[in-house]
Amino acid sequence: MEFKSNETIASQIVTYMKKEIFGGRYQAGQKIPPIREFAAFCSVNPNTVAKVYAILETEGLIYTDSTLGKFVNPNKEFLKKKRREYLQSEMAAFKEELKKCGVDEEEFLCLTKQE
Amino acid sequence: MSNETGVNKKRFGGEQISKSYGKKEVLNNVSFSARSGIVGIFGLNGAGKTTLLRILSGLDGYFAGKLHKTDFEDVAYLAVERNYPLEMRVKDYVSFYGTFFENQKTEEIYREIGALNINPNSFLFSLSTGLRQYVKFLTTAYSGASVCLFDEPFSNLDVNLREKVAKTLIMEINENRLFMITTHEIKEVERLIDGFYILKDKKLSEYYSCEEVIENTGMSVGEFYKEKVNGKD
Repeated sequence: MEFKSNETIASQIVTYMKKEIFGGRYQAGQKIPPIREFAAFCSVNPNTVAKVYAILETEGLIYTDSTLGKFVNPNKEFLKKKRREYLQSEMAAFKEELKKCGVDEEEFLCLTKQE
Repeated sequence: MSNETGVNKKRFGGEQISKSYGKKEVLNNVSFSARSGIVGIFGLNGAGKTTLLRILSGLDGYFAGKLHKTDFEDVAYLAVERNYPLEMRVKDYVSFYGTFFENQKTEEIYREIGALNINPNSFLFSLSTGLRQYVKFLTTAYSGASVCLFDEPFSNLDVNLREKVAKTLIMEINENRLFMITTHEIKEVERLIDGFYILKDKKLSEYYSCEEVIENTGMSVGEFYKEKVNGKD
């Protein structure tokens, strides 16, 4: 995994995991890798991954089973709602960026239709 | 800045450590107290990183000040300089190292050595510099010691071995262990470490947590280090 150096590794992995979950590569109820294994996969400090999982758990995207490990929330409706919220906030940030180039609502809609 | 990530209250460090080689003072009143985790010690060449590690390892007893390592019973040290005869065989080196560390994970060492097709019967002199360095690294990381001091563990290693070193550190660290890593290649360790100290002008800085540096300054660990090490202060 490639990282930017001036954003905390934890927040970058949180975003990565959200995309994995919202993109369906980790499905509702699916087991996610143990902390250490995932840390080795990303070549990052295990404490960083522990923090990532804590953040995802606080947001309700994953949960911990004390014996079986960590899983994506099995509630599909909840994930759908979270995905929507995520997309909306991403879209808002994107719009803000385009605004700097003078793109207004009308041009924005035009752009999105043209793919 | 403080490190609050580790739940463990164990401490390893020293108080007012000073060290001179003849008239040349290298360390001046260095005090620190580290908890478990992976901690970097950064500094330019000649800043005294190796000197500090040698003192912490117990190999160099000629210094002023005090060591605090009562919380951690055993210390392993990966030295940059050669500290073994090249006429040793790999297996003899591993078992010799093992005589100092009763919790050595011998099987893991041989698994890693085997993965690189190194014959345990081969003499150390027959290995390349990089592979020798890697074997040394393995014996330190898998020593089972609660404190492991790694002096430039990535030096001489190719991209594959550097990755193996990083993964081994990740798999071996736990809340009861402290890994200290010296380097001047910040990029190599910025994702691995919890935090770091900077050694400059004979002094050791306060502890900086990587996450706090990035959040509070907007700089990468490397940029922050460069600014600190080149600044007047």
